[in-house]
Amino acid sequence: MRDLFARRALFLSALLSSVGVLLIAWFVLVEGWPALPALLGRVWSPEDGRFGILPMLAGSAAVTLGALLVAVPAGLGMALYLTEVAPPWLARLVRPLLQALAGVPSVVYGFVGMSLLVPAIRSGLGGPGFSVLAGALVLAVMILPTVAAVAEDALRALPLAYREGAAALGATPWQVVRRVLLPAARGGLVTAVVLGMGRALGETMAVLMVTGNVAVPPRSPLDPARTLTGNIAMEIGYATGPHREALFATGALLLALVLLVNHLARRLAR
Amino acid sequence: MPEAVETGQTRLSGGIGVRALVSAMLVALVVAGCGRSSVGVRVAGSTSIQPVAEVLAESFVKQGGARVSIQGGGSTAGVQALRSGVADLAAVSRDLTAEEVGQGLRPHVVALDVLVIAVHPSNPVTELSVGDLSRLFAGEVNDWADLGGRPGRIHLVSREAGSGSREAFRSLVGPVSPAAIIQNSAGAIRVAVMHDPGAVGYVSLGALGLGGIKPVRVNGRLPGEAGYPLVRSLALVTMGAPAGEAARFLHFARGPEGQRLVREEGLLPVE
Repeated sequence: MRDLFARRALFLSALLSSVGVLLIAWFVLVEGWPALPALLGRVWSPEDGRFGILPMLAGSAAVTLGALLVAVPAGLGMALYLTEVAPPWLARLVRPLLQALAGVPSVVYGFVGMSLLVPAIRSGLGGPGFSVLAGALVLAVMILPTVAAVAEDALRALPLAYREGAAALGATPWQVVRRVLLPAARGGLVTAVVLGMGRALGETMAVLMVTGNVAVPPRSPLDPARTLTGNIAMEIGYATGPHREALFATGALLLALVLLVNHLARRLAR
Repeated sequence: MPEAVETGQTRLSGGIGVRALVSAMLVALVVAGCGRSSVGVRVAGSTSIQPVAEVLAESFVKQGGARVSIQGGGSTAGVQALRSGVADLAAVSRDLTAEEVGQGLRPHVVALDVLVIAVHPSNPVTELSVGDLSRLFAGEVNDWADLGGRPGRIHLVSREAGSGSREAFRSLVGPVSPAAIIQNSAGAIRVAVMHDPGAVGYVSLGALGLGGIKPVRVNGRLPGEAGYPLVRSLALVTMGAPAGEAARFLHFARGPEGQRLVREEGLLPVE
């Protein structure tokens, strides 16, 4: 009887979580549905009734791509280091530090970015400092723990026999990594990248504070930009009527994008 | 307990006492959720008014008035809340539109906010006219040298669309170039200007008091001096004539004690 009660209770929690996600998706879609066609434009100017999200799509894409360019090699490198090279005592030290990095609130990243990174970019590289580069760097630090952790799990899951076999055939450690481990762990590594991308697409606060939020597509890494998430966060408090609908439509689009990314990650994991 | 598996029914064990207690708790939860809140006056709207409104609310309670709850969300959101009955007073930092006045909304000014044009402390430009400002923020000037300063690119910093400060700026000075960097609070604009010798932005007088930025003279006057042109009214808006606790709060805010607090918050009192 207790077992039945437990099963019913667990079923209820699973149901509640799924229903929650579905309700959110439903609400966002219903609120934003009329505005979806309006999003196909090149200018975002709510005061003039124009709700084209191309500038924000470009901004999100630029910042996410930049973040992946930094975080994927760094995360992969870190994962390889932790599994193949590091002595166990060092690995035990580094891993919790990496997890701590994931625990820092995003607004702290934003504040540090705004006070240190943005002025550094401005004086060192030019432009206003608020830029795609700043956003990409901050995001890279934020998704690094995700990418490194998933990549490490993928590498760790490979049987020891792979490494031993390759070594027995005379391969150097680098050859083992390049010819055996990386191809074998490819599914898990791609998952790591895709999950990092999903996280980067959804990040709002930190990016909002360092990218400058200019609703114009960026033409260089030093140009400011606005992301889809930043756009929603900044304007939803004041928006009414078609403006509000456009923001909800953007939210629906983002939700669909992130769900797609997650689905892709699961497909690639197999 | 082997016999428990046989029954196939889920029942709280422990007898009548436990069941009664849980039922009572559930009823209490429902009642608490459905009951009217004990707040006397609900204020919603402009984030520019929030700090002074909170100070006024605290003092109002100490003088025996009702509890006042204050929420942000912006002037437009405040007006919507007032219209839908969710708020008793809308905190509005812009002029009411003709449509809003036509719907019966009445503004009661409680303070005057001063828009400060802020530059980096090292910027040699100390004075601009309203005409200069309008050209500057429209993006027609690209270099500080054109305004009598050190050569260097101008970085405009502005508030997001829908902010009361931005609308005040738009009506007092003019539209802002779409190339301006956007930050979503006066504090964030202050931080942006503080770290960039080429930046210029607009903040309310309260943010100036925090230091790190330098105000520009407009039409020869510093913010706070008589004749400074960039001043806007902060009002609490009612639907129709004020009544009840909301009326008492308004009376307090516009009275000597309320205006003293307004001055302490870095705003100008109503004449």
